[in-house]
Amino acid sequence: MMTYIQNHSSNHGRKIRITGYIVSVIIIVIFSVRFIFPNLFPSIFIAIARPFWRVEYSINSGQLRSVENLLNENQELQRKLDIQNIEQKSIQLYIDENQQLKSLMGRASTTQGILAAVIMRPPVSPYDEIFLDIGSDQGLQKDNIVYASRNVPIGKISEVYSHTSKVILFSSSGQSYSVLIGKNNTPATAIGLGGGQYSAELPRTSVVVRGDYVSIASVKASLYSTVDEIVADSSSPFETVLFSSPINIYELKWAYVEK
Amino acid sequence: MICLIQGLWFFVLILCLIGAWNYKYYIEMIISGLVYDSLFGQNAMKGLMTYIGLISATLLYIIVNVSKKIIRTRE
Repeated sequence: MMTYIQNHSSNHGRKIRITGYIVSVIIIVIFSVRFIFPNLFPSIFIAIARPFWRVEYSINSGQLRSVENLLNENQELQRKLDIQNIEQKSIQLYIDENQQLKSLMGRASTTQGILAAVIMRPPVSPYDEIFLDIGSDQGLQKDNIVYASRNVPIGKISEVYSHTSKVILFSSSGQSYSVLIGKNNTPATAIGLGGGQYSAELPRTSVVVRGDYVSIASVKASLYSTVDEIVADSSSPFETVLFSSPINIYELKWAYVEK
Repeated sequence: MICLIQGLWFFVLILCLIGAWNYKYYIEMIISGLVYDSLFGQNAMKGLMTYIGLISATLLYIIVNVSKKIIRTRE
């Protein structure tokens, strides 16, 4: 009887090779299938996982809870909503202020200008004059145009101080400016009446109606106001057009100075 | 499988390592990588990152098996 010594090393190497082949084949098959049918495996495994995810969602969303719990939760949420509404009203002031600032800064992105706070306004200051919190320290100069918002000029700098400046509004009594009225851009001279009111004299033949835009002739695409009233006298060859500033100067908090 | 569906890959990793150590051919480890890629594969990322689960599982499978062979041969 002959005895053969078993070659362990060759068996061991063969097993490793076989294992390597199997793993390689599996990997190649998987990569090939994913390359040819990229949605095959995801569709299969997501179909398997979906019921589990659905159950989890139901548990998290409270669909498996009792009606009593849901009603209690509904009442609690309603109470929280009421509190939120009250808080929302209290912060509305800040929201409005923020939007006002954003609109002003939007203009600043296209033109050179600076934002200023209106530290004093009528009726505390003299009528149709406002004070800004910036002055020569920010490079302001006399006759710089002051805007209330994007395209609404309200006046011009009349005096510049080191840290403040005074603005005389276009509506100040006795002030006169060239304006264009109506769709035909009829030129006219607007005279300030005070309190944000203006008047202008136009020939009766001019085609101007209520609601027509009034713009400043010297400022490009700047809305001045809209025509509020037209007073015509049959004995006069002129008619008087009355208009007012679209901005309430008594509530003005921010202004924009174009340099 | 539940851990895999819930995206708890670290639990899956530990369980796979234990399974690969105890069983001779623990191919489930590679399949779990495939399932992870199929469920949570980042389609926005191109290239090999789409197969990160499968590649990681395969590499771990090889490492664990080689380590197992070396340690058990010495014993």
